[in-house]
Amino acid sequence: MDEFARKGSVNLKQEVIQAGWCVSCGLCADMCPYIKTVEDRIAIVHECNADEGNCYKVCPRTATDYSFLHRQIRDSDDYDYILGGYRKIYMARAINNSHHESGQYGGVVTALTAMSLREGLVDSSLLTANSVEDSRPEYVIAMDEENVIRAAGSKYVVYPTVRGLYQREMSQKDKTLVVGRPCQVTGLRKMQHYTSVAQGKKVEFIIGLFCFWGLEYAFYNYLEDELGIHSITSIDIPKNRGAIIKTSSEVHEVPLEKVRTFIRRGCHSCFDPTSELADVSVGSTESETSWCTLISRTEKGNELVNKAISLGVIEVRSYSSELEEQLREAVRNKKARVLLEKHETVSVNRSYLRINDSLQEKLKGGSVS
Amino acid sequence: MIRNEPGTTVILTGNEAMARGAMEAGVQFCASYPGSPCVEVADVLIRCHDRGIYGEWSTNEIIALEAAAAASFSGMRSICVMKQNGLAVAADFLLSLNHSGVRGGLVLVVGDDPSAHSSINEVDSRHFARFAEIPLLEPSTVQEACDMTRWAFELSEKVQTLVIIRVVTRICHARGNVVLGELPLVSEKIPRIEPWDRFFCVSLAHLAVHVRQEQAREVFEECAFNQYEGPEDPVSVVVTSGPSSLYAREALSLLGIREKVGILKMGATWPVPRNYILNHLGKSENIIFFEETDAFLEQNITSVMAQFGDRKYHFFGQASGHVEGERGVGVGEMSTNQAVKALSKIFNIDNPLVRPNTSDIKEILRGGLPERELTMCPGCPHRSSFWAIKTALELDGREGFTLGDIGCYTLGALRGGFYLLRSVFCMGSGAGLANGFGQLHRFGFNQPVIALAGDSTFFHACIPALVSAQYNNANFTLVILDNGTTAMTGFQPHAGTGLTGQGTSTGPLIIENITRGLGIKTEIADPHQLKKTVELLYRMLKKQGPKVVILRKPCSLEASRIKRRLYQVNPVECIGDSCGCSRFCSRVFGCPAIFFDNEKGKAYINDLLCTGCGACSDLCPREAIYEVDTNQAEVKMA
Amino acid sequence: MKGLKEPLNIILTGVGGQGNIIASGLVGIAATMAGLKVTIGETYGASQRGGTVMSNIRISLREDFGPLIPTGCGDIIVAFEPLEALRIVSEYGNSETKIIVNNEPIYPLAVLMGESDYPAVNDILALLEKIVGDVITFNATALAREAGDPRVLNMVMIKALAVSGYLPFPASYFDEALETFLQGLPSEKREVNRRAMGVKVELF
Repeated sequence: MDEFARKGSVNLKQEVIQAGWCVSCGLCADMCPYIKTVEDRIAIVHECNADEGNCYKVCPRTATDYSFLHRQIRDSDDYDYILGGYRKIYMARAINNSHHESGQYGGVVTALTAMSLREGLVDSSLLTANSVEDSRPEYVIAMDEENVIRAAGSKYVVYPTVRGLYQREMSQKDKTLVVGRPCQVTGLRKMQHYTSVAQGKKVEFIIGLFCFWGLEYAFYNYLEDELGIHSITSIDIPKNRGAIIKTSSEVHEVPLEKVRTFIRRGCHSCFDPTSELADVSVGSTESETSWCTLISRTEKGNELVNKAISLGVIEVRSYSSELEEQLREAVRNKKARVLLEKHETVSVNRSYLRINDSLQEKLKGGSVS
Repeated sequence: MIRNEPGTTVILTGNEAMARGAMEAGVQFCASYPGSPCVEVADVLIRCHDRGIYGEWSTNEIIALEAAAAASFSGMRSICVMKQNGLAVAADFLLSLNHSGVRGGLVLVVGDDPSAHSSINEVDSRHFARFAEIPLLEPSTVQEACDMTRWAFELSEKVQTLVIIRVVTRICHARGNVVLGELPLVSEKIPRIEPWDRFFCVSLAHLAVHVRQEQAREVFEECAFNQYEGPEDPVSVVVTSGPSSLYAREALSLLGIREKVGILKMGATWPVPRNYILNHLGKSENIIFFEETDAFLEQNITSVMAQFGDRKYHFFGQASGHVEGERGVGVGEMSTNQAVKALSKIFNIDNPLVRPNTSDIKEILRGGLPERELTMCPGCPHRSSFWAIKTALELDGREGFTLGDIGCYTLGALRGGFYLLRSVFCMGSGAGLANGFGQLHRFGFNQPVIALAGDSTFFHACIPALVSAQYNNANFTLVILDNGTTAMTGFQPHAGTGLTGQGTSTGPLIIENITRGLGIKTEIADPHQLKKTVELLYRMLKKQGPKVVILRKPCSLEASRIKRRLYQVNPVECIGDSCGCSRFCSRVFGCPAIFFDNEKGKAYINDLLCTGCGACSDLCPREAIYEVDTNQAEVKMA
Repeated sequence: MKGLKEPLNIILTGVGGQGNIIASGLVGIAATMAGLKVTIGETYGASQRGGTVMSNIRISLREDFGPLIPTGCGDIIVAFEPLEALRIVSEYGNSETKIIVNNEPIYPLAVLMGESDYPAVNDILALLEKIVGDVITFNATALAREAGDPRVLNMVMIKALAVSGYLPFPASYFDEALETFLQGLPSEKREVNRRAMGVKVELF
């Protein structure tokens, strides 16, 4: 893409990091010795002197054309202007109780990941887990079911998990399954299609999660320093409620309005709440807590789901049209807010999107609430 | 060095010669803090403990001078050695010790460093002798360094005050012939403080200070170290001291006026021996001062001439602008070049010294000759520490900065340390300044502050700074770069190393026990474990109050003496210039053992220089650097 | 002893860590044993860490000289590194100067980092020949490696100086000087240094 010509770390720093659009996906973090990360922060620590760089190409906040990338991963042109390209939407849940209980909303991600490892479809998986020491998120390279289960459960604070692809532990692995947020999925597809970075070729499957926003690490500092909550064991943010914070002995609730003040700024510019470019996408379903929404998108994703069904790893039901309508409305509204650059308190960046006019018009036609 | 063969001629450094002179005088006590250029004086004496000498590395120079004074009060001949900056540290005691006087001869060797070859500044310590009103001797050759040191103990006992021997780098590190004198038998006298002894600095004693100074002046009127050579009744005389006298002499020869111009070489330079000076200069017309670094002789002697001389003299020196050091008037060291320049101007003779024609060089080597920048040694843990600090500060994002201090890590101000340091002053100044910055938050200042200190610097000067920080709750992080030695000056041991200067074991003082004992949050990390170190620093920068992070890893030069390891680059895996590396190890990390071969487009490790620390291997994004099995490697370690 | 220029100025130069100081010490001991007055000026300390080092050796029958050689007054230059040879010659050389130079380079930081180019060694040697009298060059580092350790390069260079005929006293003084210096060193170190001094140098 011409847009990437002669653009490198200097541009990444100016246009994304210093401009405040970074979503801490981790595609650039640890990609080379000059880009370092800690917690949810990314910094380009030293100039690399290269005029043109992979870091710029893989970033989900530099020029991104979802329709184009969609065509690269599916051999079909049917592209739904709200949900992206897909084959089928299901209601799904894991059959195995341990997946079910540890997972959130049905345990489907855990089940699919564990199955892929067991069946030898991949030799490793890159997941996000809460650390044993301080419950903060960290990347995990899981090769067995026990570690997959350790990574189960939703995370609300962003973490640059994809940095795990560049670590020494991954260098001997050939095929890996990545579970990621939509920005991470987008970044991985950009890596596969705009660069020849070896890690891109290693990624065999991508399970994308639904995500409408993520929180900054500063949320933990707020909990600890201002609310005095230490030794957090879990954070859960059920629909329409505040954040439920559990420690070993207590349960706290932080009101949703307060939680929202910690939303990472770059998330307001996100155009892809359902991980359009994943092989399969998984997310919660409004009304149901033990079933989730499962979308199979690519050929690979479709085969994965069918295999999981036939092996009795997951069970599926049809997706009702009311649910589908609710999902479509929520996603369309998010997309429209970005296109119209409307947000009460933060600025929104839509300049990274490459989207044709007719798609834009269709999206903007929806209500913006 | 310690042979008892009087009359033999050997070749010694100036430092060794002073140690020898002290031994020939029967010195029994030596206290010092390491400082270039004179550290070896103490190095030698401390290792001669089987000659009845006790020598120690004190934690700082004021303690060293106090310890040496105690031995002197008890009747023993004692010596204290320090560099120019150390004398400033010891100044409080110096300016009070002159009031009480001494008992056994006490000699203070001060090493000045004109042109600051191994210092942050060039200080002319001779002013301290005048300030304290005590005798000052300046050797001009290595032999004189030996002879003056030996005599200085006698002088000190005669005048009953301490004597300063001021040397410069070009004496300390120069080597020259020394005729050995006799080594006395080890004294068996037991040191004692008598019931009537009182050693006070009290203002009533100020008169005694003047009296002793006057006594010294009388001795100096007849001192053999002040020498005149040249014509009788000279019209022009060069007044000089230290190695500058040799430069002046050679310059006069080169200019062909050696027969015409007198040279008054002063060895005992404070107090000024008035009569001696007037005898030799009183009837001359032109008096030329040639010394380094300040116009010390010039100011003192012109004042004497103005008060007691009987005619108008023409003075040439720094005030007249004729005499320059290598970097300007009063700046930089002297040399024969500078002497020729000055004298050719004064006597209106063409300068005979000619540089070769280098126009061809400029033509062929368009860029000129590449300079050799100073950087840390291969494998230096400071390089990794600087990289970790730089990374943590960038990630923190609040424009934090780093305050430097004195040691090998001072090189962090240069490219080798990513230009990280924002300040460098005296020992402990990093932690000291941080105390100030750490209070500015109440005015809206929010930039995180890191102060650096080496392990030796920590013991020398940082403990009081940490006490103040904890007491006043100053916000900063003191990063202690603990490489287990006093590296810059030659690997002397200190309180934290577990060894005394004499090689005896002593329970090491553990730095973290001290800082935690003060109640300060302290964490420890290995700087080569980059990820952990960065995370630790990042977290600490966010905390309030004073914090200590100890980055602990032995000096690579020391470590490589024990076990040699070696790394090499696999050219197949090395991606060199490509995105993902861009020559990180050679170009950015900058270890001098790593060279980037422009033709092959690959990095390469020089097996002569690599100390096997493995930092580059850990940082290589392609795992292209591997450890070589040194048993089979071609290069065998002797 | 041959007619001695008063003073005879010998410069040893190289990069910090090449063993300059040990080498100049040997020259000093040898000259002292030969009954001459010697003054040697050095800088070390920070120079260890990659900087240029220079030893100024002044030899005289009559008097003490200062430890710094004046501009253009270098009589003999022994250079452990070619770039340093050129640097020193540019300041201290004259048309009568004799140089012995090791032709294996050590790259300064700027070159290692890819920011400057190191000049071609042949260009350096050609420039030296334009400025001074005699230029003798060889790969002393290689000879040192053969002797068992590239770090005894300094001994190979001193051997070359000893047999060059440029000095006013015979090479045998260096053997005595070497033994004095080797006292107190472990035996492997003594051996490798002796082998280096025993290297055949037939350049003169």
